[in-house]
Parts: sequence; C-alpha cells; structure tokens
Amino acid sequence: MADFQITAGEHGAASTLHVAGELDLAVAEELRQAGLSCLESDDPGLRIDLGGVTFIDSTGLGALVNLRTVANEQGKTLHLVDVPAEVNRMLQLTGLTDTFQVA
Amino acid sequence: MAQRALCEASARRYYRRVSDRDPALESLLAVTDTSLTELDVDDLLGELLSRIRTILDADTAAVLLREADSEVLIARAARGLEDEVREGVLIPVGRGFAGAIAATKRPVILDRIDSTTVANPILWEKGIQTMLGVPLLHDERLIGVLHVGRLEQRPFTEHDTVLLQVAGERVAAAIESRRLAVEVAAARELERSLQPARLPRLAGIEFAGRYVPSERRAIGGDWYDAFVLPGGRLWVVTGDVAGHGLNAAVVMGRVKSALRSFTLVRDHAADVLALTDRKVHFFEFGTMITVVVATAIPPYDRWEIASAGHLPPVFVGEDQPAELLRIPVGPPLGVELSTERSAVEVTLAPGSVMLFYTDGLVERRQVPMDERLETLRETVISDDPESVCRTVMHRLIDAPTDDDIAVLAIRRTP
Repeated sequence: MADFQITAGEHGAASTLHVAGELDLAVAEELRQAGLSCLESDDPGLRIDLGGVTFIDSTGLGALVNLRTVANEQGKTLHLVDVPAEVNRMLQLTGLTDTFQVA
Repeated sequence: MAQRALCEASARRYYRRVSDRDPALESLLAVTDTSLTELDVDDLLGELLSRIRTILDADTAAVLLREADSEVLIARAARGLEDEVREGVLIPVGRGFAGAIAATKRPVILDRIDSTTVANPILWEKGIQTMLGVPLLHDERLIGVLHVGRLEQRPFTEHDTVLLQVAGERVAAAIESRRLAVEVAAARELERSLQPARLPRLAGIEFAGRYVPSERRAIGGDWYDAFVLPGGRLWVVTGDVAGHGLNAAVVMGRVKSALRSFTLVRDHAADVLALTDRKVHFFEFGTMITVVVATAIPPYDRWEIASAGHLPPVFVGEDQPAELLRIPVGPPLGVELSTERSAVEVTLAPGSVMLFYTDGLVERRQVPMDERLETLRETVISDDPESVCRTVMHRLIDAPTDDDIAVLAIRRTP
C-alpha cells in the first residue's frame, strides 16, 4: 500500500505540494486534484516536492504532465523539487526531462 | 417550489426501524440479493422498480443515471413511465426535480408537478400529482437518481422517503457492481481483439508476440502491432496508454488505428510519430501515450526506429551480447505539440533479434528500473522469436503483475 500524502505549504509566493510514497494509478487522480486546487489560487506557480516518492509509474507521470499543461495554460510555471534519483531516471527514460523545470 | 428536503439524522433513525420489520422491504432486499448474479443490469433495474412501485404504492418508478461523470442524467429504466426511457430523456444536473436531487444529493418530495417544477414534460403530461426522489450514491459519488410518482394527490411521507433510500442503496450497489463487471469484461475483450490475431508471414523476418492482461486490476491500454504494406514496407509498433479501464482500452484502439493510417501517407517513423502526436493532442486531449515505431523495407536489413517516451528495445546481434538500443527518446504522445521527432537507423544482420515491450514487463515497485532493464538485457539472446518471448516471460515475470504486458520479438532470418 502507498503511504501517500499531500500537504500544501508555502515557499515564497508559489505553493508547494509535498508528495510521498508510491505515485501510481491508485493515487494519480488524488495528486492531480490536489495540484489543480493549488493552481486555482492566485499563486504565480506550483512547486511539487517529490522528495518522499519511492516509485512512480506512467499514470503518476501522466498526472504530473497534466498539471504542467494546466499550469502552462494559465501562464504559470510548474517546478519539480527534490526529485529522487529513481524518479529522475523515469523522467529520462520517458523523454520527459526537458518537459519539466527541475529545481 | 413545493419541495421538502429531509433531515438525514431522522431518516437514519427511521431506517433502522423500517429495515428491521417492514416485510415489503425485506422482499426487496431478498430479490436484489438472489438476482444480482443472474440478471443483467436492465432486467435487474426493471425488477427492482416493479417491487419499489408496489412497496411505495406508486404509479411510476424510474432510474436516471449520470453518464461517466458528465453533468447530465439519462433515463435508464422505468415502470409506468416507459416513454422516458424510449425518448432518451436527458436532465441536466441542477435543473428541475431530478436535477435538484442530483445537485444537492438529498431526497426531495414534490407536491406540484408542472413546467415550473420539473424539466421533463412527460411527467406532467402523464398527470403525476406527487413525486418522491432520492439520489443514488456510490462512495459519496452521485451515480443517478431514483424517483417514484403517484397519479393521485396523496403526498409521500418521511417513511416513504426512508424506504426509497434503502431501495436506492440497493439499486446503486447493483448498478455499480454490474457496471464494474461489465467494464472489466468489455475492456478485456476489446484489448484482446486489438492485439494482432496473426503476425505477418514474411520472407526474411520472423515474429513472436505475447499479450498478458494484468492479474490484479482492470485492464490497461498496452498494444503491439506488426503489419506489411503493399510494396513490402514493414511496420512494428509497441505502445502503452497511461491509465486503466475501458477508457484506456478504447483510446488505445483509436490511436493504434490512427497510427496505422499515418503509415499509408508517410514512410518515416519520426513523421508517423509526429502525426500521431497531433491526433492525440486534438482528439484524445489529456491522454499520455508512450510508443515505439520501427520500419524497414525488404530485405529488412536497415531499420528506422523512433520513440515517444517508450522504454528502449533490446537489440542482439548473432553471437554478440545484447544491448538496450540508444534511441533519441522524445516525450510521450500528447505532452508537447511542438515536439520535433527524430529516429535512429539500426542495421539488422541475419540472425539479429529486436525485442519490443511495455513497462509492465520490467516495472517492479521494489527494484530500480535500471536493474530490471539489465535483467531483461542479459536475458535476450539471439534465438528464434518464440524462444526469446518464452525465455523473457519466464525470467522477468516473477510475481502477480500490476500491469498489462505486451512483448514483440522479431528476428531477421539467419
């Protein structure tokens, strides 16, 4: 089972979404909804802290891609923060490294 | 509006008393339990509505279902109001009687039926005088509305409301369990039908493929494809639609078909990827798909391979160690419209093997991806494609799988 949790925080002006556990089909929609609610605010962007993520599959990556699309449509930026090596490797393998701004 | 929303706490107190001793309700519960496994959902709804009409001494009973999280209710089954279903009545959530129940997720009793209180003219034309409706909920999510009506002016009571709520719980459970079973069965059937029944028979190239649906959850959108165009150009494709369930399988079918069409107008793998990317952007918005496309013309010695976010194919020459193909990997389809797609050329000498696969083959939660890719790499040897597939499946699949697996091996005939 995933020990998945989202906590909204503040980092300068952009809100930060902290994610931990396994980012898979079971939680991808939850992540997307949490990200969307952050993007509804007046913040200039969204930071997603992936420091606690132990596993990500294509549906998890899909949720991140979707949030980035929504952010871009609103003229906002989406940053991935504290990306674990395994998640970074998955971004490489799926050709998504240049899609995201990794801080 | 002559509507009364009912206090839920009092409804719950009623619920206990009613469900314990109401013989009519007992018969309703009994019929749902025994029939669940035997009736299809339409027959089951019809049977339940007949019972509900009797229990509540009503003239009409109807179920409207919300279609796939849309904002519209569609008449699905009715007794005494059959025209509602025949005419395909649509009620926007929030409008009229059923729309208000859907929007508030609360029961409503209505004692005046006319164009100001209900959105559906069938109801007042029929002469219904009083109505009661309850929301159909599954895990707090609205899936539809159940309502009953009387042709005489004899208003429904709180007791009636509680009865209908209990019935509604049964109806919702029946619909959900059946819908889930049907969706899984349909997705499996669809997914299977979309895998090639027979791989091409071709002088110079041998094929073998495997498709194994996930053991643990609803089907995904993996596929493999291999086809020859007039003139001999061969295309080999492996792809994966992110997500699961019937929708992923349906999207996969459309994208697979679109990609095939684009091979009729373009000879280069990168161009076919770019066109398919546009198709996904405009017609499958919000979908992410990884795919690898390879193509060659007789004698199939020089291949062009392009990848949109897909895991690297394994290449092995005769009497050589296998390698993961170094392909410039662009983002998955549906991510970035302006993506420039590029391909690599790979020489396939006689006896050389290429293996294409989807992530279900290698992805394991506890093991880093590179370790799994290495296990796969060292498993693939230069052998006939059937043996390659058999060995790979045997060695790599060590536990019940979370995901679908599609594998396609090709060899240039030695």
